[in-house]
Amino acid sequence: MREQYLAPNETMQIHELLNLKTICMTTSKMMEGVVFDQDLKALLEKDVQQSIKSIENLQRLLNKAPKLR
Amino acid sequence: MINDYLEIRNAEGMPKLVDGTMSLGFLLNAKSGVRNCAIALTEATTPEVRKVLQKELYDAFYIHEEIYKLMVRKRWFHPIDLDKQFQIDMEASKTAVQIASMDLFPGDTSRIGTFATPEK
Amino acid sequence: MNTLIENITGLKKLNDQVIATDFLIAAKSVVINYSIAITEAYNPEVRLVLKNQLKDVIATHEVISDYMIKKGYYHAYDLKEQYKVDMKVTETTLKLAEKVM
Repeated sequence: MREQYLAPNETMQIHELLNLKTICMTTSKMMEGVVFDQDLKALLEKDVQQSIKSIENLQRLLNKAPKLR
Repeated sequence: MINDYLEIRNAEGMPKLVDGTMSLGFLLNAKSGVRNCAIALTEATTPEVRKVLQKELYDAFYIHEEIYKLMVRKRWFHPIDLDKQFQIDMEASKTAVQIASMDLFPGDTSRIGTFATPEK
Repeated sequence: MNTLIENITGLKKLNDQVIATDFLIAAKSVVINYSIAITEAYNPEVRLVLKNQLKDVIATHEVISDYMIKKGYYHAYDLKEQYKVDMKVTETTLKLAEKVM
């Protein structure tokens, strides 16, 4: 039973983190079009790529969310 | 009060200011990522969740480190020279307030009509 | 703990639980504070030291929370069971406060 579903509290934390990551990724991508410095742009893109992986991981975890009311 | 933002005189030093502001926003985002990740990690009980979040936390540290190193290298951020940092902060905030006071998006900004959004 | 209080309140059984809970809360705030400190540290050496220590703190947090689950003090997966445990603890605490006064 313990392996099948996540605990309710950690599920909510993952949900919060997923939302934060999504917003941060979107902001970073938008900033890429605004900045002048190409090094900064490269770093923003690196963050976007890293965020995509993070979001995939968090989505995978959230699939195991318990059935709450 | 500056009204004409297309005036070349007013665009002086803008690239540096824009990059500085954007990198600061980026840094703050990274910081809040670290904080939220740490809090989530302390609530984790499932081993898999713990593993994922711990990796996320260390990735977040890494990207935060990259950002502030870049900011120091490009002289947008002066963690040692506080006088210089405060001076930059004052200038940046003054300019930001000036820009924010302008009517940048006059008129109706609803451009729903230009979007292909079929009625449901 | 004072034997007299133990006898009056029956707190002896709860003693380990209270200590473990306190430990868990401490470990939590240590993890969060270390993470915040790392984002505020400029010196690379400081960051490295803090990061290494944070690993130990996270491991400690894992051990203590696993211990609490094993002992049945902490039911992360069962809210009803956790509610029962919490009610028992608060009841004992209230009783203790009454007896002392």
